[in-house]
Formats: sequence, C-alpha cells, structure tokens
Amino acid sequence: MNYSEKDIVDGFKKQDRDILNFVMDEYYPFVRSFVVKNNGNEDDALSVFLEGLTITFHRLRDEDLRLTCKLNTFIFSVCKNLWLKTITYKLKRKEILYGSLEPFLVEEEDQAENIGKEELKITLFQRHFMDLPAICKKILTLFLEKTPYQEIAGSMGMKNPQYARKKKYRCLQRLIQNILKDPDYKRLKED
Amino acid sequence: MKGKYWEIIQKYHEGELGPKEKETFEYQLKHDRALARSYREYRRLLEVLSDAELMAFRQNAEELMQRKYGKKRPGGSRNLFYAYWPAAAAFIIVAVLIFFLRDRPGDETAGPDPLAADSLHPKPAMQDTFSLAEGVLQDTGVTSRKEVLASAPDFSDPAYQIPAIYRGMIGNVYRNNFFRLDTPRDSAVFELHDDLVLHWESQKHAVYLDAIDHSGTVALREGPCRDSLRLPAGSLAPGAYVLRFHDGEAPLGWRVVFVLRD
Repeated sequence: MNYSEKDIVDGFKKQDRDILNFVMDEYYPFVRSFVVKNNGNEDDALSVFLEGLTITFHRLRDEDLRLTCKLNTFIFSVCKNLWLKTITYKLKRKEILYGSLEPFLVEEEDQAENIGKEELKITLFQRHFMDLPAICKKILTLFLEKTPYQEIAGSMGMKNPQYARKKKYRCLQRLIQNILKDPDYKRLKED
Repeated sequence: MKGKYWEIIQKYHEGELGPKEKETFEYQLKHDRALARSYREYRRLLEVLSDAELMAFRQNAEELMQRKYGKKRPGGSRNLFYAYWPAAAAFIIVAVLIFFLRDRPGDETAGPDPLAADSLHPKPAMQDTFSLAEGVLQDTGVTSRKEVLASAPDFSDPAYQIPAIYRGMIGNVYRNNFFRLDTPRDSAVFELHDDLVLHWESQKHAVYLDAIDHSGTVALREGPCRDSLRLPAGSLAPGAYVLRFHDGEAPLGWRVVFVLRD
C-alpha cells in the first residue's frame, strides 16, 4: 500500500490501525538495525521503538509539532536518542565498554538532550501500567474515569464498594512500587 | 516520588483525611520539599494515566507489536529475568513436568470432542458424572478443599454434578490461543440473586460463552463479546455449570461455577 506523507502523519495522529501497521512494517527495521548494531538486542529494539512511537504521538498531538522532515526520519531520530540515553547510562555504570560502541554514536551524544525527562516519565509510567495484571488495569482505569466505587464493584463483580476501594489501593500501591524500583526511574531522578 | 509518602498522599488526594490531618498535611506540603515533590509526581502519574488518548495509543501499539513480532514487549522486570533466567527456566520445566505427570484419573482423551459434545453426542448418563467436590479439587489445584467444602451446596443433588467428559477440561487454557479469565475464580459460588460478571483477556475479538449444566446441555449461550460479559441474576438456574469459552470454532478456556438455591 502506498500512502502519501500527509496520509501517514494524519493517520498516525488518528491512531489509524492500517497506518500504525504500515509504520511498524516500514520503520521498525531501521530502528532494530540501529539498536542491534549498538550493543542492544531485539527486546531493546522493541522497547525503544514502542517508546519512540509514544513520544512522537505525544509531540505531534500536544505540541502541534510541524514536521520539517519525514515522519520516519523523526521517529528514527527519537528512537536513536532514546537508545543513546540508555547507552550513556550503561557507559557511566560500566555495563558496556566504550570501545564497543560505533564512533558516530558517541559523537552524537549531545543530541540525546532532545528528549525531556517529562517525556521519558510518560513512557515509563505507561510501561508500568501496561505491565499490571488485567484486573488492576481495569479497576484503575475506572477509578481514573472517576467512576464511583459502587459502580466499580458492580461492574467488576466485587462484593462491595469497600472491597473495590481496597483493590484499587493495592493496585495503585503496586504500580507506584514498581515505578520506584525501576532503574530507569532512579536514573531520571539522578539526571 | 518517595515510597514512605504515598499512602498519606493518596488519602489526601481522595479527600479521606480528617480536617486536622488535612491541615497538618497541607502545612507539611509547604515546608517539606521531598513531600511536595512526591505529591507533584503522584499527580503527574494520575494525569498521564488519565490521558485516555495517549493510553489508547500505547495499548494499540503494544497489541500490534505483539501480533507482529509474536512477543510481548519485555516488561520492567526484564533485567531481573535475565539475571535469573536459569533458575526461572528450571522452575518452569519442573512445573510443566508436575503438571503433565501428576495422577489424572479418568483420562478423557478417548472421549468425544467436548466442544461438540452437547450437540453431536448423546448426553452422558448420570452414572458418568462425578462429585464436583472431588473432581474440582483433583483437577484444578486452584481452590483448597476447605474453601470449596465450606461454601459448597448439597453435592448429592444431581444439579450439582458435572458430566465426566468435562472433568479434565476444568481450568484448562490452550497455549495456541492466549486466554486468561480474571473473574470469576474457579469454582466460585454465586447466590441466585447475584449477577455473574466475567472478565477475560484474549487475543480473540469475538469470544462466546456456553454454560453447560449437569446433564451436558448448553443451558445458556452468549456472545460474541470482546473481554467481558454480565449475566443478570436468574440467567442460570441453581446448579453447577461448566463455563466453556470459545471463539466459535475452538475452546479457549474452562471454568466451573455454582449457583446456589435461595
């Protein structure tokens, strides 16, 4: 399928399933290749790509970003910067050796500043939310939609509103604890 | 965000603090920088998670990625998993061995296809049924004997027996079709006036439910549904039911529930 650049950007903003499919098929191989060549593996590449897409979506929507380049160039650049941040951190902690990196990667280190802490936090919060058990995701979603506990209990088949409240409390506690334990979150605080 | 603050922050945020506690908290919020930072962070977290459009984008992207690349994005605990993968692998192998080698009386493999049983095969005779109190405990390993017996109805009543051909299916899910039932838990007990609410996660967009009664008849069929279903009170007569989830062609998972008499 051939899409114009405008179709791709508009479809991406509207979360059009076909466009998202297209973006994954066409753009992911470049990100994968870059990450794998630079001390990463397939899982790292998938994580970086997913977070890169989220940040791109956020920027296009909230900042009404006018792209001066093609969407694929922009997404690749965001993903590259995300991976640079990870690499820089690993270098600091001596988890990887300086000599094992490709020269251009180290030269472009300052570009990593393009992605702000806030954006990194958004993806981190989302990642931990997505990792919660389905029942927690559901109850927290209802809570965030300001659904009364009575209704939450009814729709989730729980005994009473008190139980729904307790369950929500535990789910939120679990989410926060997972975030606090995440090395990426600690890293954000250190930076 | 600091772990020690989160409880009080949550209470404050939800308006659960008394007037005195609230006043103290607000005073601390002004003077304790760490607390103020944690509070801002907590609000930011809720703000991010309340952004339905952004969350939907992430969810869609993750689902697509999982479909395309056949695996879920590695979670936050991936580093731990890599660190302990040999132990995790050994544990999984042992668990699988225990699962397959344990004593499973009454092998059903030679029996009829349980998905088609109600329509294509004669109903099983009552002597083929077994006591649920024994069967569920042997087959699922989910519910303790004490728990079942404490809430169990009169098992001598034929309505609380389930056909033998379904016995081996209880609690099963199939590896080729990801399906996880969140509620109800296996062998859950419902009052006649309770609504029965079911929630699940599945790769399938259209999931059907068959509630099969003690005689092997599909007493109720619902669907297609995406990920949840509510059966209003009275949909099922008192008795034991095997809940069979399927996609119209193949079974996805099985559960047993009891509906009590009033």
